[in-house]
Amino acid sequence: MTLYKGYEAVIGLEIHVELKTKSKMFCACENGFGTEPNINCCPVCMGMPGALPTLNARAVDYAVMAGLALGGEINRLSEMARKNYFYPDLPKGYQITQGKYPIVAGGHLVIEGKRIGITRIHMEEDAGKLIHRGDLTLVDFNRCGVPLIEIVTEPDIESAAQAKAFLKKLRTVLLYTGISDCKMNEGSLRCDVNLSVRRPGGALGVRTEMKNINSFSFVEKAIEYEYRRQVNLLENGMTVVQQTRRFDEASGKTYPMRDKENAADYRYFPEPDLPPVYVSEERIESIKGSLPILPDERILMYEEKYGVPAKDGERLTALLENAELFEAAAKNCRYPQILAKQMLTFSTDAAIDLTPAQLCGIADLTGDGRINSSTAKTLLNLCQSSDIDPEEYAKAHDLFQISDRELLWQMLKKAAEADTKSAADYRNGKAAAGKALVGRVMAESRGRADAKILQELLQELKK
Amino acid sequence: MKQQTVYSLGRALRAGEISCLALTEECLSRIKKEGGTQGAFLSVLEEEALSAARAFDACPDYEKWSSALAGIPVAVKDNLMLKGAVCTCGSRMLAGFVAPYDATAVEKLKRAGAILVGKTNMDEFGMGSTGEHSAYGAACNPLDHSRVAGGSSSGSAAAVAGGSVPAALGSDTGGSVRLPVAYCGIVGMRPTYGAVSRYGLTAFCSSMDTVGPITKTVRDNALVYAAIVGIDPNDATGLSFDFSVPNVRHPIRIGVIEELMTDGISEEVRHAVQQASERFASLGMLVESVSIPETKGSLSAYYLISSAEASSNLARFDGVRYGHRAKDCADLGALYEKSKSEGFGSEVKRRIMLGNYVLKKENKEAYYERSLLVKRILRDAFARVFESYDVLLCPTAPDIAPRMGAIQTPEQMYAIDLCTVPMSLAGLPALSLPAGVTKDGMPIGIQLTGKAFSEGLLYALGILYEGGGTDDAI
Amino acid sequence: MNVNKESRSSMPSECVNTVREEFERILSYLKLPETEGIKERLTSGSDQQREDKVGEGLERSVLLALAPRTYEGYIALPRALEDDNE
Repeated sequence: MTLYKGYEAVIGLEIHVELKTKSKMFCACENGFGTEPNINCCPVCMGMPGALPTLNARAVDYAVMAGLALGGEINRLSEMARKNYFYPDLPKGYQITQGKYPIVAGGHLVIEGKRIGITRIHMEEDAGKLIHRGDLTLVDFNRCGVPLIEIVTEPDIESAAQAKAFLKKLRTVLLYTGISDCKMNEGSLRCDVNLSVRRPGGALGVRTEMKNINSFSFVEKAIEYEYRRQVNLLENGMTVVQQTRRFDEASGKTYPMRDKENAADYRYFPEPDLPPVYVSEERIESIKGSLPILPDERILMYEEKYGVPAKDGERLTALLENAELFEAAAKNCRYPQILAKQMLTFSTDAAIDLTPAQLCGIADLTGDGRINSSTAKTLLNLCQSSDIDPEEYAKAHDLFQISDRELLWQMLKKAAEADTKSAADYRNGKAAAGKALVGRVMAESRGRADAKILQELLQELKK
Repeated sequence: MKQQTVYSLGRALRAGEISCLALTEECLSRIKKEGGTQGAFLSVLEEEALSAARAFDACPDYEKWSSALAGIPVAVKDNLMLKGAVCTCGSRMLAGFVAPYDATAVEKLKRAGAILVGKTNMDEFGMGSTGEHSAYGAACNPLDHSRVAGGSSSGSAAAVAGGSVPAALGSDTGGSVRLPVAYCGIVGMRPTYGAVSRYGLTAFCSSMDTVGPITKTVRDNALVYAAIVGIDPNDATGLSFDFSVPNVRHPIRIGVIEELMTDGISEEVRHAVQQASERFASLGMLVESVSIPETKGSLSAYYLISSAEASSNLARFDGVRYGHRAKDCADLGALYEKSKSEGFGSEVKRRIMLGNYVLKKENKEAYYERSLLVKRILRDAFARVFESYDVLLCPTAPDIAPRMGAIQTPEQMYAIDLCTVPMSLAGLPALSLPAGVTKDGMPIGIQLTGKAFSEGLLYALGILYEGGGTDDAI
Repeated sequence: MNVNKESRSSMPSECVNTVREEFERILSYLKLPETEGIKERLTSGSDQQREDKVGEGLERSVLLALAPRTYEGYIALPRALEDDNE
């Protein structure tokens, strides 16, 4: 990693993840986007006098699930706490969260061989939303009380790219567990960045916090900007002030937030309305049993069983659907490495819409040399969201590869006769001219010519 | 009616000697006549009560006699939500606030067939020991109008003692049921923390708030208690307990708490407790003095913890979603500051300030966290004492009801809670019942405390003390 | 010591000083006994947790009726705030 003016960045992330429960964290209101404002509300989530919170068991299970998936330690007893501050989107005047005793302690993710530690995961409730309309500020409490987990990392991250990779991996793991949609653009995954800079090996610098960043690329940009801003301050003999800053998407810069965010003493204390949260050994075991096989384990398995390199495995497992698709197709496939490569021609951010049989069929046809790679590509595209049988289709449309040496030699000679200039150039040592001849053969054979044999024949043409 | 009990009125209703409508009408007219001068009520639910009474009378017999409270008029402290009724909590902050739902205890009263006739006066948000910290004026003591009714459930105690209703609900955090009943010469129970749902009770100090019955007799009190007790899915701090398990030994051993029989307690009150001890002894119980030195830090720990929680619980009154909103606010800060300044009274502000102070980062360990330790030490001490004793006896209040305006400083007022806060901190049930009067004719209350969920035993002892349960003899 | 924000606006400054005196007096009145060597700890938890089920809420109109001011189903603040929350 290249350092800017000899300083390194020390980065920790706080990630808020909305849990996909049916009802809210502390009441029986629906957890969902309201079509109308203040429609999913009740005395509890509106902070009416006398209303009391009750804990959603599913939300606890989901937090445990996240903890297990990220290799954390589940605390059998944890404690809800009040974080006190005033804001109009916070109806009770405090947020119910966890303080001293979170539900998950520790954990980690490995990003490109580097272990990024997770300090803790705790449960909390979301706040409402403020809508600014002209000279009015309006409050909608539909989101208020939606269950969240907050994942806090150690300051182990060194760069914007690493932060982005961490977030992507984290999202993958969470999507595997099914506890959240993890949509950054819809706010179900939000990221706060803590950043300081220092000379390598030097003491930690003063950190700033950037709040509520809502896309992977903004996280990258915010880090890049803030890293340089802090370094430049220090280089110019100034100091970094500990403060909360806001990332402005339009300018790509960060700005300090108002003082209230900075001078806050949240006066944490244990939530007296909720007894300590107890999670039994049996409950943890049953949640463990319900977890899917996680990406890292699959990547290892792909490498050992199918010879798929870890780098490809990483991409294949980015989505659970695709990992499962690969495994189903690989089960009967004689060429799993070809299968993997062919699957990776698609975007790995979306579910690949082919059946295991189609993928397996195309990989086997390719591996057996019955179709060439350009036909394979055609078939992969054709099979998307259709029930085409690749082998039958290839047969019906005469797409099998031409590997007959004699036939190909005839075709090449014909091409050389048709394009005498290229043939002459090629014989005179211009390699590029050979490509033109191959192109002619490919066109003639509707792309079915065996490219490898054709290359060999091209050599012979020189003689 | 004035001297009648839940029990006797229930009997009259069942025998057809009186209709529910007639009873309710009489009750409403008493509230108007006496309540007006006593300041016991903040709102009267005339229409609703009359129509409920009519419906009750029209209801077939097999449906309506399901509980001892069927057809009985009951009043409710104004910090309990009663759907459709104004709920002020004795504060300007909630002037005109109409409760959008029923508190669980209120719902249980309704299901038991009680007729809810009104909401009673109280110290603002439960913060006060005399009733004088209501934004709507103090309720006066029905036995001597120049004296306070006691707080914070001042109106509920005054309404029952004054004969406006046979029973009322109060709430007790540090003594708010027990003090006013002692001052007014009636009976009140602070239930075990977790026995009665707090859902719908406006929170003052969540870890110590309880809802408790206020009645003229111990038996009546047990009847109301039976109607409101029980686990509630809406209150996560609820505890269930099998009351049928007998946990009494023979003879019953009563300990009189030494530390609550010292100089801080008036001589007449100490004398009354001594007489009560003798009476329990004459009933065959073993009575002796017991020292619990751990009670000494109670008052401090109670005020620090309850103020800390109050500062957080009252944060929701910000003028955004409901309640008082100050006019002409230039910005958000002004909205909060002005709404709260105008809405809250002086005692509430004082406690919010104290609470914020003790929770601040730099103070938390020395004040809040140490208070929790004092509380733990006290709980352990009670547990130890209850290995040797079944019940503890002590005064309810250090003295009789003070005169209006006599309590000048916050410290004087806090000192009134000396005998009631230890049980609050320990989460224990405590029954206050009348034990004679002073030379001036003002009542003195004594307090019986037992282990968690020993309400049955406390009621049994109380009924024995009263004279064996011949109910109409009060 | 930060004298409470809630009451400051309605009080002249000499009042704030009186409040401070009283406050400090009360604090010293509420002196705690020694607790050296004792630790508060988490002791027991509850497994009585709510099912993840959607129940009946309150009518929106009931909730909104309580608000000092509403606007098209929203609860309205008296003035626009700086847009720094979203």
